[in-house]
Amino acid sequence: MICARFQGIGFAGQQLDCLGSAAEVWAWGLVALIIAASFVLGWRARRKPALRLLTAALFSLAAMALALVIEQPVLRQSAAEGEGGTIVVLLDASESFWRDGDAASAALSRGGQRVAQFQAQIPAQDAAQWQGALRLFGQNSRAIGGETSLANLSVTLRNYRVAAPEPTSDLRAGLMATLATLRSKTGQRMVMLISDGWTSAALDDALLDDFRTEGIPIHIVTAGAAAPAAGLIAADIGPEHRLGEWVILRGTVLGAGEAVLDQGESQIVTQITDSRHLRAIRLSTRLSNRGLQGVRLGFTSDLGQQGKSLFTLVRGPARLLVFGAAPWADALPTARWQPERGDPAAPPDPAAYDLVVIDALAPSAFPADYIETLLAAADGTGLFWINGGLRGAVDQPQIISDWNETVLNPILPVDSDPRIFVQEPPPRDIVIMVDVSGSMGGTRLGSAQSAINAILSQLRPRDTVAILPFADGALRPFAQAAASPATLDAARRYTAGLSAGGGTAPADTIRDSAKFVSNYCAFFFISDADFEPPQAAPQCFTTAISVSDSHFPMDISKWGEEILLGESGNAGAISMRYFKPDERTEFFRQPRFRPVMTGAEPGLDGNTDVEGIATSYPRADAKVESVHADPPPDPVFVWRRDSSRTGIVTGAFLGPMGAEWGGQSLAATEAMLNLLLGWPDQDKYLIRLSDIGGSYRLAVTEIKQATTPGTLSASMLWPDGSATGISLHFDPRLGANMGDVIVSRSETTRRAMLVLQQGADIQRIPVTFPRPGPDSISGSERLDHGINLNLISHIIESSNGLALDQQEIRFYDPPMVVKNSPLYPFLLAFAFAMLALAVWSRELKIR
Amino acid sequence: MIWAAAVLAISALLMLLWHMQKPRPRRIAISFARFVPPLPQAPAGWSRIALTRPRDLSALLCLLAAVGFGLWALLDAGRNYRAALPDHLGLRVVFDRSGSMAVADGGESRQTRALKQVEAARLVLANAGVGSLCIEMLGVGAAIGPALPLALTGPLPADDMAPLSEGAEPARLLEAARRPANGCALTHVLVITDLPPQPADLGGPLLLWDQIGAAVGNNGLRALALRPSAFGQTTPEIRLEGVNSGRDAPPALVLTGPAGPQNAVIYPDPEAEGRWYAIAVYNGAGEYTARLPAGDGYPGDDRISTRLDMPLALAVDWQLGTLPRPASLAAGGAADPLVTELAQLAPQDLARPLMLTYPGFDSKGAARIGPFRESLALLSALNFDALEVALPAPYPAPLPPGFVPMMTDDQGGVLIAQRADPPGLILPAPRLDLPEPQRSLSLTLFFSGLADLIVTPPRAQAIRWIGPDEAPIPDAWRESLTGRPAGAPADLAVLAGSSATPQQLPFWPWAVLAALAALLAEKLLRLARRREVLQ
Repeated sequence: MICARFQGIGFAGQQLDCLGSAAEVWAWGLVALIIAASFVLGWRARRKPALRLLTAALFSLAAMALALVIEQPVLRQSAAEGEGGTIVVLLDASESFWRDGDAASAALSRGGQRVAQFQAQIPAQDAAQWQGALRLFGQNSRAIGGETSLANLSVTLRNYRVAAPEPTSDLRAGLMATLATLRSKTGQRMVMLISDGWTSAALDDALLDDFRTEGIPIHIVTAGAAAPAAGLIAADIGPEHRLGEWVILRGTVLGAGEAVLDQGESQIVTQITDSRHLRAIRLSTRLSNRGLQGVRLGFTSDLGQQGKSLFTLVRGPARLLVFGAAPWADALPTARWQPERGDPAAPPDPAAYDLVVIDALAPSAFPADYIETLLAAADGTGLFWINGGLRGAVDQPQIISDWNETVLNPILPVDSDPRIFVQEPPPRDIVIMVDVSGSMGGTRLGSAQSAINAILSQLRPRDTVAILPFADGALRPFAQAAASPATLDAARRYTAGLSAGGGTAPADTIRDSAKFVSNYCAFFFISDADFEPPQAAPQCFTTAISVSDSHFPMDISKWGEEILLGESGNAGAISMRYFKPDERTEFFRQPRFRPVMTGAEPGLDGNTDVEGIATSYPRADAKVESVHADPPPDPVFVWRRDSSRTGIVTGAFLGPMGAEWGGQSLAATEAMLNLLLGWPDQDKYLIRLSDIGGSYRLAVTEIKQATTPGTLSASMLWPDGSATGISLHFDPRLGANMGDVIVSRSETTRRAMLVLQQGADIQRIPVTFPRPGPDSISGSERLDHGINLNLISHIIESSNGLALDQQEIRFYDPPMVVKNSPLYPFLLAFAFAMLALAVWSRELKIR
Repeated sequence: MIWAAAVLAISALLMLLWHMQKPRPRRIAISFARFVPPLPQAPAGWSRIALTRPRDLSALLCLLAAVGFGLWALLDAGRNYRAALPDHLGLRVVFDRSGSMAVADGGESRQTRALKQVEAARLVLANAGVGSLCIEMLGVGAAIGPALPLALTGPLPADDMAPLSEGAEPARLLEAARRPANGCALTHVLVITDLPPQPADLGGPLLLWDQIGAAVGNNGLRALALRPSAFGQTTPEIRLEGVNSGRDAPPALVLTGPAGPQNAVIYPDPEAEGRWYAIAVYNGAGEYTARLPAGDGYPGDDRISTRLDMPLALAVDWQLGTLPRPASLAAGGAADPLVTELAQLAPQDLARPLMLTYPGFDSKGAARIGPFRESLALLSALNFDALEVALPAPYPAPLPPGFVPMMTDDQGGVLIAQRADPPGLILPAPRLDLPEPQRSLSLTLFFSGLADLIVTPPRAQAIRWIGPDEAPIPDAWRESLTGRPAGAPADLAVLAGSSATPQQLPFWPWAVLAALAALLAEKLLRLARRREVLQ
């Protein structure tokens, strides 16, 4: 009664508890009477009221203490909390399990009920130590939410539904992930598997052994569909097609419904009459783009909507949209190219083409908004500008300059404005070749050293520098490094340490200099000019400095510039043309010339003269494949792949491309176009992309032997510039490199670029992902139904689990001592001490 | 309890003494006149307490009765407490002797900690105040040892409790806990192990699971699987699998085979945390030994050895007349998958992994493909458009038991059928002498099916774990997870806890009630008088 009001009060790690007794009601009744009688006696005495009250109070205290004794108060040592435990519910997310939604939901409710029953057995002080978690397994295994209380887990199970069942069920992956989770837990651990037992990946006994060894039982709740799946069972579109040919989509269905072939802008609908047997369907369409083209096959029936994306590799000639004259376009072989002439005034959508060629047309020839359209289409559609011949006077901006003024400027491979180039030249790669042969001894070497120091003094930290000394052959160089102050100091010390000796053979060093060639390289050749003319010539603008009074023996006009410094010349006073601001004011270089090939790409040499070129400067990341024959090396054909949006490839031919580029130079023309297409070799790979529900599986089979060594890698480039890496592994059963692609959901058709790279060989294959519909549900378990009792019972036996359809999980509480310290001895002693005091208090003031 | 009784007794004495008091001498007012004659002699030797008739006997008796009831309650409560103690305690110690008990953490081995726990349990029993006691011990490694009696004091049989080079599992420990008693009537079973606790009802004795040992990081080898070359496209590989517990996996392991040692890079298993794998080259039949870097928690799982006899290429029992066995496949026997023709099929062959061909492309089949099922491995390389141009004739016989159609023609004829267990496929026969596209189609379909049938995931091989002393360790993998988190220690006080027998309701509260009644009686007696005799 009274004690119970204070039950649970803690004290020094102990709690008050009242064991109670049937006598306690009587006891408190007696106490009430005793107190009343005590105070009546005290009041009746009428003398010394304070003393009488004290006596009555002491007596009352004694009586109350005795009544408390009857309630059996104890101090209970706080029971240690148990270790608790963890239950992981592993739920089958496959189509075969969820086909009968009611049965699956009932199984989940049963699971929730079993969790609740288990929770009810757990002592209150241990309940907080128990955690639950929910994990799904389908195509893969994944956790749903984090850890939660068993109460929440029970509620979650009763209400949880898998909205998009998956075509397969990888139980092995689910169990492996669950085991990894539980291994990090203390206390009791168990798995509740809710499944029909049909699994797409075989379970090995070793995994079940792991559960047994860890003492983790797998309890199972089962449910299964009563019949095989209805609706769409299987579908196939064929692995490869030619552009424009009929594509037949075959499928297998069960039951009545409406089959829809969705290609984004068009739909083909077929009604399927009811059938109790598997039935074949056929739909046909045409595909108008190259690459991996996807369509969506949907099936609507009384059971709902199903769908599956199907991909086929469409090969065929590259579709060129040509603006301007481009007379060579008509000569392109139709087997590989499908050129279409476009009217600049009413241009078609460039995104429908593989490459857009703009020949000698300024942006003003197009509608104003078309430039933006070109920029948007550039991810996946190559852009090729041909400047054409001289427009107006040479000191007037040319057509390429007009394009530099548009929003396309950032993706163009060249900059045509000389003023910008002069104001802030890009980083330069400086290479100094210096003769240290015996003839350089004495003042000549000192003059050479002063020339080197003069060159070094004009470098910026963003430039690089290398020093290549030579005598009989190449000597130990000063390695190329960024021209920081420390590097320049080291280069000066290196220069001061040079000494003369030996013969003069510059050829090796000139050849070695080729590896330093870049868009903005500059070579310096310092010698006394006392050698036989070398066969090789530097591949960069070269300033040849003579430290004698002799001219160089070679045709210096092919190198760049010659400076006669003399044996004791003052290098600080000489003027080097390369370092002077480019005072060029011409936008066009005449006359006709034969370009020099400088790039690494083969087959680009047209062996044709060019009638002048627009003066331009390649972007730092552009690749210059051919240059003007005479210095300065103005680019003729240059192209670049955008470093941030790698789907963008643009090229520029700075001169006119006449009919001869469709004749004797046709191969070079095709080579240039192929560079910009990105998918030059359509027969290199057989590529398949399969919708596996929630993600896509890529299979790449090499048909042609790789021309360059290297491991095949794959990635998917998206229009926003992002890239998704695809981890490939070789599957010997399929003879293909396999990898999965996760694609974020989109309400519209999405275009992307599949990039396959093997060594230096890169193929960029356009991919069209169809508009997603209901999730794909066809798969290997479509015709499975019922419960796979063999597997279920094997799991239960191997892991010491329970069949929760018949049994519930029993909770075994680890035994613990409950230590009670009874308070009745203290209270009895107190009560009688009070009683004695009360009796003696009567006498205290008696006279 | 004694002190409480003493307090009660003293209280009673005080109350008695109070009642035994004599009245004080009357106070007398003396007038000055009395000084004139000499005053009488003052009383000497006055005593306040005297053995005399109590002043209020009935009240005193009530109070003494209350004290008496109080003392009775105390005595009854003590008797109740003693009755709750068990008459007998019988303890079975199930002692884990597996290899991981030799793992040291915090300066001492788990076995040393376990022995201390046994000592502590003996001490608890010895101090339990119970007359009948017995203790027995079962050592458990890979198997359960004999039950050994343990004395309450004295040295423990260290030899019978030393770790063994064996792996143990929780189920074995529980089995030992459940074994019938061997002369010692069991009230408690104490399992001392480094394995995590297992909930269990032993049907009588209380189970205490004492998980000892702090986490110690360890890497261990778990399995070795072999994948043969698939049609010469891949090299035969050895896949080694292991676990890492409480620490990162090492960068590499060393596999020594007939061609010498090779380093295999270790990769974390993307499917499950705490697992890893390494791929090494299979160099033909011979003895292979894999070794992890030493120096982790449990050394018994760092080395495995096995003898591998598999040929470098996949083997098939090739009985096909229309196509010679590819050079990349080895000639197999009755234990290998059978590739044969329908005409040569013997009834007993149906029980084997089987690829059965029929002369499908010899004659023209139906016009169109009918219903089919999806199979990535079997049909993904097949071009349905090409197949439909030259559709083969259907299988000319009823399907054998277990086979289900994978593809039919639009007339219902079965073109391809598959069986799950044992693996089986029925396909049109491959023919090199057919015109195109039948030739390519028959070969594509046949080799896709053959790959699906015989290229299986890596097959696990029997392995032996070798300890540092070169002795084999059965099931050493069971000991690998020494990095698991430590559990809470068992409460050994349970061993001396109250009897499970339900207690009777105590009487003593009624005695206290009687004391209260006596106190009330004392009050009522006094109230019944018109005026108090005593103040």
